[in-house]
Amino acid sequence: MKRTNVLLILALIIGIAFHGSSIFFTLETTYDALIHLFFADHYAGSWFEPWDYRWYTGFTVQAYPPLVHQSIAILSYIGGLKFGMFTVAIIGIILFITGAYRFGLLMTGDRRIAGYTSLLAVFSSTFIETLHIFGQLPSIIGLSVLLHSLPEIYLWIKTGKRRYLYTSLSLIAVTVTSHHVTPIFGMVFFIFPLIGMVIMDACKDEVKVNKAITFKIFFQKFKILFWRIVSFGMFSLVLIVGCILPYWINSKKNPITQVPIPHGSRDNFLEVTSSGLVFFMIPWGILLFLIPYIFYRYYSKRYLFFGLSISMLTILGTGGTTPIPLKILGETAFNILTLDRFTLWATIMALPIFGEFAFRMVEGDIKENLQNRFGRVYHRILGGCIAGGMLFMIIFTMSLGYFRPSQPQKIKMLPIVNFLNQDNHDQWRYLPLGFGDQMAWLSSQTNAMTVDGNYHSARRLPELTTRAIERLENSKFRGVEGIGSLQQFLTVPEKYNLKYIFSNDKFYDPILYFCGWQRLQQLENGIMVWEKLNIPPVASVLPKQDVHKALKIMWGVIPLLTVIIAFIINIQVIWYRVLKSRKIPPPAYLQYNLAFKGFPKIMVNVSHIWSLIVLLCIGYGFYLFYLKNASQIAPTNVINAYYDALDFKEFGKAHSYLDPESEVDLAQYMLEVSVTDGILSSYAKLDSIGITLLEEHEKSAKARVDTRWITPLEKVEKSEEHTLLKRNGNWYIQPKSFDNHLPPDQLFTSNNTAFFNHGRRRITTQQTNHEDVLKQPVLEVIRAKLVKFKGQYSIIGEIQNVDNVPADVVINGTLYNDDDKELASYNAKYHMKHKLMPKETTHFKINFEGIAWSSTKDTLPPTFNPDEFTPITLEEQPTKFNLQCAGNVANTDLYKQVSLQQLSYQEGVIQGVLFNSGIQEVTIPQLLVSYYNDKKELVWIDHNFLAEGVRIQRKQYFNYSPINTSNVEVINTSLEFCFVNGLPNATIAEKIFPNRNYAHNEEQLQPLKGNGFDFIKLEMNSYIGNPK
Amino acid sequence: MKKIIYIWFLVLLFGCKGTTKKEVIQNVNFVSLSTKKTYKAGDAIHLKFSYTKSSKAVLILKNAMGSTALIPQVLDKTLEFAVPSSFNRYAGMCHWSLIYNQDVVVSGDLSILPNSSKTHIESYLGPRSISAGEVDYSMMVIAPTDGYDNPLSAGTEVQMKHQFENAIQEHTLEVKNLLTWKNIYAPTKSGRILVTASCNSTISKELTSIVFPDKAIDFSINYERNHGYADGNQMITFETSIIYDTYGNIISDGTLVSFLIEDTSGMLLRAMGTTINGIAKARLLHPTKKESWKISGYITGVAKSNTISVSFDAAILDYKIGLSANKRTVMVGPLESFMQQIVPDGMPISLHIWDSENNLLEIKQTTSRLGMGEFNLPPEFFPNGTYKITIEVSGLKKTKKLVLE
Repeated sequence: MKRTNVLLILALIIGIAFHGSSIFFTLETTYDALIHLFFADHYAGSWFEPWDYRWYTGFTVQAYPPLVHQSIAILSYIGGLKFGMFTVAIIGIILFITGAYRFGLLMTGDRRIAGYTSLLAVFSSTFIETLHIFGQLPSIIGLSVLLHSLPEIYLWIKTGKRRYLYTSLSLIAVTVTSHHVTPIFGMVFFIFPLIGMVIMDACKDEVKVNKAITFKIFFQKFKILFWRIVSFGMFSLVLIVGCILPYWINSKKNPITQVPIPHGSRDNFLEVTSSGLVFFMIPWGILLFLIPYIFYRYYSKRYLFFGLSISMLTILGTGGTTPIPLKILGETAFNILTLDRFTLWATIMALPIFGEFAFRMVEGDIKENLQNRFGRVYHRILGGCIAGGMLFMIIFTMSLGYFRPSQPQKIKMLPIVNFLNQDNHDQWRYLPLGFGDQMAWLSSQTNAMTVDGNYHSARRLPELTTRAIERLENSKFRGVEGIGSLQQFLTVPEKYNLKYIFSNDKFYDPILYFCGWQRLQQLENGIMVWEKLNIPPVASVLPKQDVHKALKIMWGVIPLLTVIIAFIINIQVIWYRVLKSRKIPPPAYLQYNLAFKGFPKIMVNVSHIWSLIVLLCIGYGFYLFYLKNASQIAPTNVINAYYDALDFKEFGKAHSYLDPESEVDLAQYMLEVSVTDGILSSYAKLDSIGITLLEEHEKSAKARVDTRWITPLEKVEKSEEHTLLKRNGNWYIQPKSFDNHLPPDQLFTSNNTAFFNHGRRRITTQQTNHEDVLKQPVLEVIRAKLVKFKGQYSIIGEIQNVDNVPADVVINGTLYNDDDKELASYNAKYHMKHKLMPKETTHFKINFEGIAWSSTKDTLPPTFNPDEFTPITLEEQPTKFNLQCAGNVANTDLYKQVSLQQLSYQEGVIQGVLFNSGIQEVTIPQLLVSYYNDKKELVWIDHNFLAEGVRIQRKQYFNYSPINTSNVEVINTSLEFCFVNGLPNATIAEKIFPNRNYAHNEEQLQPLKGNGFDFIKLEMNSYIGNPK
Repeated sequence: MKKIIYIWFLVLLFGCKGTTKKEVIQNVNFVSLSTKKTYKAGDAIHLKFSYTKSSKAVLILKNAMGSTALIPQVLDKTLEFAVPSSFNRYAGMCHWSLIYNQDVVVSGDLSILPNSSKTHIESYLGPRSISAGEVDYSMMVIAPTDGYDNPLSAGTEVQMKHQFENAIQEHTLEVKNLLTWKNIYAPTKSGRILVTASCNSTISKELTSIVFPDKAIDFSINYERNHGYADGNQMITFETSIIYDTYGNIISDGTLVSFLIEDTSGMLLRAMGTTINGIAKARLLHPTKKESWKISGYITGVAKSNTISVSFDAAILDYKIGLSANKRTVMVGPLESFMQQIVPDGMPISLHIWDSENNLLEIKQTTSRLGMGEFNLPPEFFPNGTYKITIEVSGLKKTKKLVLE
């Protein structure tokens, strides 16, 4: 009887101590762990009901294999969801280490090498990354169980004992129910080569020497073993289909319509180096240096099929670096699969060989070879380097989440959960912004529903499936497209009963304001709650896609049953093996261990050369990195560096690029920069930068810098000229002069009418008392018309709050054709002032964006682009429109103290100054420009967001170039179908606001002759980022 | 023979129908013993019947809310049905029918009247805010009910009172079609109307309707400033007179007044103010050059002010242009204001520079600091040669020839 394997015990102890304790600091900030937690919460709440309303206006959890989620759910009954998650993670760690051991033992037939394999598995950077950075629990459990099943499959095919068929199938079933992709690709990449190896071993049994195996013998043996292979294959196919049958039925019924969402693993790793690091360098880690050895061993005759498999996996894992993965997988699979899993499998497959290498390096023939050729010291140094490299990779990988957090800071969810629970707030949908994957943790703590979600394969709303964005919540990382998609939800929130937004990222605040949302309160955890008025609550009965009861029972019962069956079938052998209570014959694969004598010299040389190449590549990478960061070598470098620093708000660094002789010291610079608020300095992300050198001299240069910024509102393009100077070999930027204007008053007063609405005066669990419901303010549509401009239909007009209280205004427009068929419906976005004081007017424009159209398929532009529009067919020509305007009493965002001054019109450009005479700092001023023709009829409405804010008692200069409106085609000007708070506009205006003096509007128009217009009107709207 | 077989066949076929066990009705007799037909809601109702032979009867009750079947309490010679509270508390017609053996034997109606011993009042007032004048009104709707939530009978009197300032008006209304209502027309003064109602000595809560002022009428505006010079720094405040509505009420706080300012070049500047106690104020900076403004105030669509004129004199009458030793720095200033003091910081200064062939090379802008402005013309961008520069401050243009060596 053999001794207990000390290395395995050591690996288990270290593995559980190291991973088991560090998961408490890493797992919750991983990408996936909290998603699985949400699914687990679903099962904990309703085990057999697969429909969950909380994400994506309803989705089915049958879109993901349930075992891991159900295990967490079962354990959550004992100690809560997180207890369940950590317990399952620890089980996963144990399964992985023991799985690696058994895989190593199977491959090498040597307990000692298997021990090394298990120890290396503990420290493998690929496992660390999958667990501690990605948090892919189902994948880990699936893979580990697959590794456990491999020896059983081997033994079944080799010996033909039924027992092994049962054990292997039982383990395959567990793999299937925990992760669907693992067994399918595992079949191809692990089990097929394994079958090849079994046949090789069978051949060897016959001919005794590997070299003597010919294709003929191989084929003969294959024929003998054929039925065992086929029976295993058939049974496992049945299991793969049967165990998660509801999953397959669901995939058939709801095929993934999601447009491909970019994933780093599909990038070209040489271009996007960060993806290369995360999806190639880290998983391979120290194995990169051993690639020649790994391939040398895997291309030996016994492992030949593993060799082919690992080559394939390695190539597929390189993503978009080479065109091969795309060609092998095809367009669809390439865009759906995340290719990092191939690298994961490749590196796991390499583990036994790595173990073998370690064994030979520590106590085998490589050690001898090295010591004989280069001496003892070299061997030790080399060993130290490899160990050091491994440790470096471990620390580097573990700390990646610390230095480059993939998630925002941990958010305390309790205040949000309490907010949703109080005052019936969960009767509406909510949307978290800037939560990262923690949104899943929030969702699992509440019954309230969100339109967003974190498992994009289960999406159903076309607004989401047609967009290549991961979540609305982090849409800013997908640039214009992401923001465009978010804007669609913010503009027509009624459609989704979306009333509350929890904002953890002030980046989104401007778009919320300009779409008509208002701040409600800041919770204790710093999350700002925004609300939208005039949103109906979610219906009490919601539609769902029901599935047959049998499928629900299957889904609820089979996964855990597979675990129980696998446990019962396998426990006996494990019991004997671990506790040595009964002697069991050694498994068949143990007789194929090698003696390892005489490591070929050439391999040592090749490995050295290879390592050198790898080191050179890494060194070159560092050199490039340095060059890119050598910021003052050339004029373009310094401009790039300066804008980079500004983008990341590193003002100290930015100041270091300014001309040192310009006498702007850091304190002064900080003072001047820090006081500039506005969309560019506070809410923008630099998207691209183009530098044109206008003049270049030896010591000076002049450059035009065209920058494009992604802001929450729109793309902003800015062009600026910089003067550059060279001093002591370094280039510097000459600082711009700042406005020296000083406000006249040190202290001044400002009186304003402020409003407060109690909401519910009586605290009641019932509906709000009718006395506490305010009358909706009356609005009047003064003019409205349907126009067509540049192929796009818009409703433009002017509306006034004719009531005595401030109003929050929502305008919804619907287009009809001659047959009264509804074509499109949308709300006014930011082409209006949403908050109107009594008797205030605003112009408005409704643009009909993608989701507005009833047949989204035809009209939806492939990517969101405000300037691009798909014209619709002629039969669908809109000819009539309907306007539904709703007023609700507003009491916030009523700042009107921005004046328009020093206006002039020269060479087609309106220049002017906005002056802030009040006591709130305006962060983003907006100009609404309405164009009128010679008859003073409204022609078009345009807008302009000013890049910089207006401080108190200060000026802000602006330029605006009027557009050519001569091509605006007016289609309908009838006010017949305009309604205010559900009542006809004409009658309500007649009653509340008779004898209107229309001359007032006309007198306020600025005569200005241009292309297609004779008058314009400028209106100001101001967003205040930090109300005081 | 065939016919006989056929007949037998038919007899067998149809003659096999099972006999009904229906007892002969004649022998069973039910007579209603209750004569009372009208009850008050909540009163206990017992319906009694005498019977002969069989007591197996049920009573079906039907009212507007639904129906039910009752099993009797069988006494000697009488059957007694206790009408459950769900029926005797509900005012209106209640129809009963006694069923024996699936047949209605006796039937009748009960009339249950509202029980006015305890009255509740449900009252609604809306809209909650109206405008002063003769057009707008709030409607008070009163639905008096008894203790069991039955609307009181038509004709029940309801007293309604509403108060505005010192006047309390009282109306007597009658319930009709389950409720009663009254339009309360707005007075011509703004304020608040309190409304209440009472019925059968039960009183309602107090309800409120706010009377907002009516539309504004034309008003006048004025301005206030520290001095009349265009220094681009001081502020001018425009202020309306107290704005009233048609009935002499001060218009609602927060009403927006737009001030439209037409400058000398015909451009329309704009400032906005919201009213407090009928007065709206808005501020603008003084212009930087000699100006004459025409100002009017608007409450768009409703009211307009008179037009006033304001002129500003130039603050800076002259300034000097200096050059540094190497002529590479153009210094403007000192800029002196109307009392020969240094102008407040921030006066815009612009420089246009042309080359010898009269091509405009660049427009530079700066603002004054301690009365001075500086422009640098570095040799890298302005090689030696002859240039023409024009400086503009406060509308004053000065041109100079510049030779750089």
